[in-house]
Amino acid sequence: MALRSSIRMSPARLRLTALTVAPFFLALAVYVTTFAVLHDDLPDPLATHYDTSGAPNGYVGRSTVLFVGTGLLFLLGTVWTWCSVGRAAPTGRIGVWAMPAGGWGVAAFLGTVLTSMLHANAGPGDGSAARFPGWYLAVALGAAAVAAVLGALATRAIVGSVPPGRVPETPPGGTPDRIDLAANEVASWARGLAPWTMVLAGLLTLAGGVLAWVVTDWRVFAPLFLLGLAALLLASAYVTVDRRGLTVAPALLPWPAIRIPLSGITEVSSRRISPTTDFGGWGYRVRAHRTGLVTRSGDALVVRRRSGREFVVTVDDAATGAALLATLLDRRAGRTDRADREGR
Amino acid sequence: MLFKLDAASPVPLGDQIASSVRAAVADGTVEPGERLPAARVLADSLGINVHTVLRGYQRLREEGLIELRRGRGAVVVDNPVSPGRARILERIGELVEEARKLGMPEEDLLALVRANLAG
Repeated sequence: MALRSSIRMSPARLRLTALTVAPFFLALAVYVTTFAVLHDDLPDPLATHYDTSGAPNGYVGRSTVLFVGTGLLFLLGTVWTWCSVGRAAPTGRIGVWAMPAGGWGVAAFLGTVLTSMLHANAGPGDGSAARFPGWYLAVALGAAAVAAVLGALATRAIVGSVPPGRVPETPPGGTPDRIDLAANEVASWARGLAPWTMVLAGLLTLAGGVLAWVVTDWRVFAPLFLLGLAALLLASAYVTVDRRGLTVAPALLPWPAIRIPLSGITEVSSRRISPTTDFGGWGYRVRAHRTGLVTRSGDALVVRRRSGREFVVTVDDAATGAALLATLLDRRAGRTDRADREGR
Repeated sequence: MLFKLDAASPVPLGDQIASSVRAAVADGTVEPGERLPAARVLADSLGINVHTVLRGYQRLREEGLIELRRGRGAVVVDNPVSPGRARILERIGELVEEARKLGMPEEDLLALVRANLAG
């Protein structure tokens, strides 16, 4: 059946998936093999938490260490791969290889840290003899950098070059154009919110949380993990303009969402913004006279609310969104729109 | 991208979705490799059934303009000829409509097209 054939993966995407999974699989294999080889030399419990001098101050049961280690690699590998080839996957020239490359780096780092922790514990006596000096982490970082470069080269070799994406630019400021919209027509403008860089940032935060758990404490892990999840959720969000007004909401969930009805908007425009100068950073920013959902610099859709405050959301092709919103506001205000004038 | 629907038009809503996409790909507003909005998001936004949107997307897939992938959504076929293909599809639509208006039999139309291809 036609529909079934549409579900299969293209060879290029299959290769990309394999390439993204590979380092996590490799790290998993090395970790499990090391565990099996060292098994008789490993104390139970193992030293898993160390102070700044590298001496252990926290212990976890041997089999739990194996389950947590493999579980973390498996989970992170799955999420990373889904983000690299799934719905939120980057389509741009850099994103296509930067995502797998980042995965290689993270897998190498985690794999090195987890495996060297096993080595640190191996030997006679209990876990208190284990040492995990700071330079182990430096070695892991080095391994991550090398792996990331290898991953980038491998992806470029396998996927080949992807045509560069063109982002339509909005001229600075000014009143938006109008869209030709007849009285009986319904219109919608919808656009994915986040750039792939945000997906990558979310994943790195997740990985950071996981690492924090391994090396320090779950109390560091929890906030980082939640932050990473929030970033990924935001990355799946859409900005839509339609008869209901302006909506920013995740594709799969009704919440968290920002909904501004047409009746709550007095003015609309699109302009280029800079996260640092206009908002002092990225994310959901509340300033004195404006609120912003800022994921990058560049094109943004800007509305003035009835309260006088501005709401800003960064999104590609914001000019078209602003034009439709302005048209819908005109229509609501009962002003003659262009379609009517032309119809007369 | 921008979608426009005319509920009063005799053209089925799914086909109107498809022609919105064709026009956007043809004029470069939507690029090869770009993702279309998820069917559910678009259906909610336009106040129509999600199956209507999927019917439109399915038609575009049959025309070779987009790829539908589970978990990945609808993506404009990543090929530099996609805009040209969209323009040809738009003209074919006009051609067929014109022929129908004239009551021209299908065979006659196809024969004319073939003669042009041969020439």
